[in-house]
This record gives sequence, C-alpha cells and structure tokens, in this order.
Amino acid sequence: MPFSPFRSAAADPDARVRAVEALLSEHERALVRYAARLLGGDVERGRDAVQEAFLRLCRQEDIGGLGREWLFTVTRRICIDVQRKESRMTTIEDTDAVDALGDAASAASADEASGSIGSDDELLKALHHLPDRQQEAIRLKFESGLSYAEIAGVMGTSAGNVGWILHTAIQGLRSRLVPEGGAR
Amino acid sequence: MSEQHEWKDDPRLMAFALEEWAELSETDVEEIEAALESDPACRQVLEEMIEVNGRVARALASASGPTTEGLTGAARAEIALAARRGASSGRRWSPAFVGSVTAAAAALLAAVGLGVFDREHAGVEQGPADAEVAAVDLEAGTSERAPEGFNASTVGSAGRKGTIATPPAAGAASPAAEFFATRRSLGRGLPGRHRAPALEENDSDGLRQQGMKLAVEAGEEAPFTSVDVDPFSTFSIDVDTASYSSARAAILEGRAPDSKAIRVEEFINYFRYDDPAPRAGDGRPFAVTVQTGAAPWEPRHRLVRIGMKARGMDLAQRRRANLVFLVDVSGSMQQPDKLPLVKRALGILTESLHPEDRVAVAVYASAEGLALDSTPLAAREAILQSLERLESGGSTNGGAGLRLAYAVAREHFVEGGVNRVILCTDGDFNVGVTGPGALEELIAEEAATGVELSVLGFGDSSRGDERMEALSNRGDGNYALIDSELEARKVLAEQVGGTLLTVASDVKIQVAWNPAQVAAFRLVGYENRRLEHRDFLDDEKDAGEIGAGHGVTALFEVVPRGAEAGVDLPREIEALERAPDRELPEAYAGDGLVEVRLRYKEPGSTSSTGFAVAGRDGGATFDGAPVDLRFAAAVATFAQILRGAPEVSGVSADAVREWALLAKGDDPGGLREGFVQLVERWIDAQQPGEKR
Repeated sequence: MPFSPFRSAAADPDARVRAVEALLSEHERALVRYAARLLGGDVERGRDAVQEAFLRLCRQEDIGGLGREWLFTVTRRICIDVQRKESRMTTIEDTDAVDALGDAASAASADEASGSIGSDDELLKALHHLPDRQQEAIRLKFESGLSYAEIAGVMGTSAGNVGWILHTAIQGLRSRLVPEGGAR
Repeated sequence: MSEQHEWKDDPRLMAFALEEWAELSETDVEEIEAALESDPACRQVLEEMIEVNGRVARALASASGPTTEGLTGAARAEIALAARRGASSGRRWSPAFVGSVTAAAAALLAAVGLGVFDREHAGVEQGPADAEVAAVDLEAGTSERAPEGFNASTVGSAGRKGTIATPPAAGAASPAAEFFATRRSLGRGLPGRHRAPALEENDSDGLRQQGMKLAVEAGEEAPFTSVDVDPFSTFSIDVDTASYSSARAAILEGRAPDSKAIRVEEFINYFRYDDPAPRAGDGRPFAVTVQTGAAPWEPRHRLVRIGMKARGMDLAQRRRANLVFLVDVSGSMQQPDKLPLVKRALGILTESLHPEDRVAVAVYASAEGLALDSTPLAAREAILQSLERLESGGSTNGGAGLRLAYAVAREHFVEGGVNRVILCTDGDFNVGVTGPGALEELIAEEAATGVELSVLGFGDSSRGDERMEALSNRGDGNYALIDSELEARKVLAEQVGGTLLTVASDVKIQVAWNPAQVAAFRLVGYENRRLEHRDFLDDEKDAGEIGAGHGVTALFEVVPRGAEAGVDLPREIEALERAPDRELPEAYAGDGLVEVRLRYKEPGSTSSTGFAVAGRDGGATFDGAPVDLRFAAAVATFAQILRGAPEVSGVSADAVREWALLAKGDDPGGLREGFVQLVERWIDAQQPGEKR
C-alpha cells in the first residue's frame, strides 16, 4: 500500500480510535444498508454484521490502508456466513414452502422480469429480477458508490469484469425503460 | 473510430459514464470523446445510460428507508473501545478473555466471602442527619385519623368513593396492561403530565382542586409550591429506569441526550439505596426512611430524601436454585429495552436469591463463552460485576451457547432443586450447524433429566416468537416476553420458584409538610407521576407497584420558614388557595418536618390500606448527610442539567461529579462508579475543541 494517513495508528491508541471512528462515520450507513440487503432486508442483523466487521477491523495489527473496500469485503463475508448457517437451519418443510412461494412469485411477476419499466417501483422490481451478481454490483456502485476496483475487491473478481457486469445489467434495464413522465 | 462500432455493446462507455478513469486508458477516453463528437448514436447511448444510472441510484435511495441509520450509539462506543484495545485484545469471549473474567470473579469471591450478605442486615448508616422516624398506623376509611389533613374533598372517602370520577376502563385489558398502556413504555414518552380524572362540575371543592392543579402547573415554571397554598405532594411511585439507560447510551456515543426524554426519578431509581427493609413481623410490605441534609447548591435549603424499601422474599420456603443465564449479546440486543434491561433484571434478581443459590452467565454472539462460571449467591458482588461487563456485539450462534449453558448447569446440578437454563434473547436465535431437530432433541433430553429451559424474549420479539415458545415447551420451561423492568422482575421471580414478588400494588405517596417548619417545597422529578390529592384515597386510581427487595426514592428540595427570600413563589395562586379549615397532621406537633403517607394494596386485594411515617430534620450539612441522600442529589442534579432545568442553572457538572464521587459508598455492582464515569464523559464532551 502507498502512503496512508493512518500509518501511525497502530502505535498510538488515540490515533487508532480516531482512524476507526472516521471510517465508521463515513461508511456505517452504506455498510448497514448493504448488509441488510444481503440479509433479506433485516436492518438489525445488518447492523450486527457491520458491527462485527468493525470489531474485526479493530483486531487488525495495522489498520492503515484498510478502508471502504476492506469493510465491504469483510461485511459481505460475515453476511454470507450468517446466511450459510441459517440455510443449514432451514428444515425441509421450510424449503418446500419457500420454493412454492418462489414459484408463485415468479409466475406472477414474469412481467417484472422482462416488461417495460415506468416507475421507480417497477425499476426496483426489475432490479430484483437481475442475476445476483448483477444486483450486487449495481448496489455497490449506485447505492454505496464504490469504484470498479473496490467492487472487484469485494466481489472477488477483476475490475474489467465488474465493468462488464454493470454494463450488461444497465444495458438490459435501459432497453426496457420508458422515459420518465412518458407513456407506460 | 469505425462508424459501425456498436457503442451500446461497449462496456467502456459505461465506465466513461461512471467516470471510472482508472479503468480507461488515455486512448480509450480520446476514442470515446471523438465518437461523442461525431456519432449521434454514441451520444444517445451515453445520455440514456446516464439517465438509467441516475434513476437506478434514485430508486435505490428512495427504497433504502430506515436502513440509513447506521450503527447504534452503544455499538459505536464498543467499537471505539475495541479500537483502543487494539489487535492484542483478541476476540471477545475468547478463552483468554473469559479466563480473565472468571479469575477476577474468583478473586472477588475470595475477598468478599460471605460478608456480602451480612451487610444487608448490619443496619444502615446512622448519620447525624437521619431524621427520626415514627410510624403511625393509618387505616383510611376506618381510622378516625385518616381524613385529617387530607384534602377536604377526600374526607370521608369511604362514603364518597362512588361519586369520584374515575377514568374510563380501557376495554377488557388487565389492570397491569392498562397501567402500562396509559403510561409510557420503555423509553417512549406519552404526552400529558396529569393522568387525573376530570373535575366534576358539581364538586364543591372544584375551585380548590383547580387551585391545586394550577399550583402544580405553575410549578413547572416556578418550581416551588408554597406550603401556604398547598402543603401536600401526592404522586405514584415509579420503578422504571429506562430514561437513565437511554441517556447513558447517548452520552457514551458522544451525543447530547434528548432533554425531553430525561426523567429525573428514573435516574434516581436506577441506583440502589441502602434503606432498611421492614422488620419481620411488623406486617408492612415496605419500610420508609426519611433523610435530610442541606442542598449543596443552596445551603439555606434542605434536601429531603424519602426512601422506600420493600421486604425481601421468603427465602427459606424455596427450593435451592441452580440458574444458568444464557444471554444473547448480539448487536441487536443493544437497545435500552434489551441487554441493559436483562442486566438490570438479573442484578435485581440476585437480591432475592438465597446465598446458596447459584448463578452462572453464559453468552453467545459470534462465539459462545462463559462470562461467569457458576457462582454461589454468597459472592453476589462477583455476579453483579460480571453482569455489568456484558456487552453486545457480533452475530448470533445460539446453538453452541446453549450446549455450553447445559454443560454448566449439569456440572452444578442440585438434586431436588430448580435447575434451569434461562435464555434471554430478542429472538435472533441461530442454532448453528446441527439444525433445529438435533437442538430440540437436546433440549428435550436435558429436560427429561432435570435441567429445564425457559426463554425470555426482550424488545420487540415478534421475530422468532413461535420458535422460542416451541423451544421452551420442549425444555419444560416457559416463554415470556419482557418489555419493562417490572415485568422482568416478576417473570424472573417465577423462574426461581418464587411467588413474587409484587409486595404491594397501586402504591401512592402523599407528603404533608409542616407549615410551621416549611415555607415551600418542590418534588424533584415525577412530573408524569403526580396525582390529584383526592386520588390518594381513591382505590380505583392505579399507581405503581413495588416488588420484593426493591427500593424507590423520592427527593424534595425544601425552603424552610425564614429562608423564603429570593424564592420565586406563585403568589397569585396563594391568594386563590387559602384553606383556613385545614387540620394539621399529628406529625406537625413541635418540630416535625413532614408526614409521609403511603397507600397501597396487598397482593390480591382490591382495597387499599396505608400507614404514615413522620420525619424530623436533624439539621445536617450536605457533607454530613447520609451517602444515599448525597448520591441521589448528585444523580438528580445531573438529570436536571441534562434537562436544562433552570433550578440547577448555577450548578456545574464538575460539582455533581464531586458529590457522586464522595457518595459512592459500598457501590455493589459498580453502578455508582459507572455514574461518575458517565458524568466525566459528559464533561469531556462539553469542552469545546477537545471533542473525542
């Protein structure tokens, strides 16, 4: 890593606290939003995950150079762990129920996946029907404001691939979008 | 570039639209800019892309709703603490950390030994300022004395009860439910200061009542009530403490607490005071102590602390208990009505347990751990300390925590006793790798061999409700939702086989000041708990409950006769409100200062009984006053500072800190030390520039 303003933070506890608090103030909201989305919209659990991510940050030997990308990466990992544990918990009956719901939902919303998009509401529904990785890249870009390089770090891929994913996703939406204020 | 280039298929245009310069070479940028000049199709694709991007960003932002809040104050504070500890701190609840806690507990255990419990019976501090207390029985309605000095409208209350307006019954709700519904629940204030029924049109005392009411309302601005106007103060006890917990969380976060959410009495009653319990056999559910001392901010004024202490539980009749609390410390438990409530409830429970009962505390979050190994109640200090240390953080792995809790319960199994794991959670119970089937099997198996499982749901536990109930059914225990401290006390008492616990309900206090001694007074706090004087004898009028072993404190600032100069008294009301026919209570004879009257219902009874206690002012200075009075004064003053109350405008937080520091006393559980630190934290935050 190149020069970091937080380089000396490891030695000085006060500087360390300030560095962590600065990261916290700057990113907590975006992180909670991101984590909550990954956890099915559960804000409380999203907070838990983000808190855990910051606690892990505090346990790092040298937090200089660790920033947004690291926080998103770790938060994402925590969320995935949580979901994995929960999916093991789900009983067979639950799975059937979820599948049945899923079938019903997809039948009812074939339109949302491919129809034209007029309102914000329809746009959000269309977003939900994008492949997971496209959704995630879009959220990291347009909700959290990460750069291609940062998204690549978080999602474990290359920046070029992130560009391709975003391009594909937006391109798909663009072709279906009815201009704002225009006819539905 | 080629005219045929399909820009809509070129991801570089997307990178250009998003200004991702790091992803584009100089040539890329030049190429795109040239195409934008020459190719309308390219321009259109870019414009559409930018529009789509904007709409996606706006749509996502508009849908984000409450998730923009970020972390809670407590979470931030904990992270700051972890940052300070640094990398060397290791994981919370790691074996190393747990080891240090148990080592500390063991050390304390050795140091404290069995002495802790003796202290309770060793008598209270008999400072020179302890007022003399004489108890007088006061059976309202049956005794000749009862009506004396009471508001004229309540004279002969037994005969008039039917005519006194009562609030309309709210559906078929239980009185307790109604009680909480008509008051604030944790942390949320309901508007309205007076809960009293409307005056009756034909009430011959209407004018007088109105005068009283005005006096109270005027009291919000000019805080003192003239004894010549109204020598009484009538209010309901309050055992809530959530206001303190919320304010503390705010201050630790570095933010000013909401001044409207500061309730002084909840600050005062957050702390324990060492008042004597009623003597065995005197038949009273609680004892009343009156302490006096000079007001530190105005030495001519007197502070009067009225402390009530309920009798303890009947320990001998209970089976010995071996309890393992399994506490969810995941991040969502940070809210004041969750983990802080768990801590308080467990702390108070320890007061009701037998020295031979055992308590262990296991926690679970991202990892499970033992915060306190099974410890006999004789070492209550150690238990309290470990409770204070519980902090929330991380995600949830309940399954492993539950196994740990069972292991501990097994290890200290009491034949013929209550062996129980008590899970305290907000419903976020993640069983980990084995799946729910295996877990329920484990719970049923443990129950079959004598270790039961109860589940206490905290906060808005709509999540996982049925699941929690199912688990507790498997474990032969019960499931209860806990939304207030009172509820916590009751439920926990049932957990240890006690029959709580409420030793008295609808507890009302009426304080009558001796006009020969007192010119004016103000009740500190209890704004939402004040009652019309007539309500004191109205059995229909509900009020607070007091549970076994618990205490309630009320604090008055009193202006003695001859010290009225400079005190702003509401004169115009005085004119309205002369009551020449008022008879003096017996306690007024000679140099009596005050008569404290209590009305309450015994458990299960629908009619109230009561007694009165007289207090005299021993004339102590502030420094010579009992520690509990001094500490209550510090806490009350701090609460008023946070409220921005004009009464304490001349008092600095540094002074408050000093008073509290010198009045820590034995400080079981370190609550008072915690208060001192909180004040220091607040003082730090007030320093301009040096904000940390």
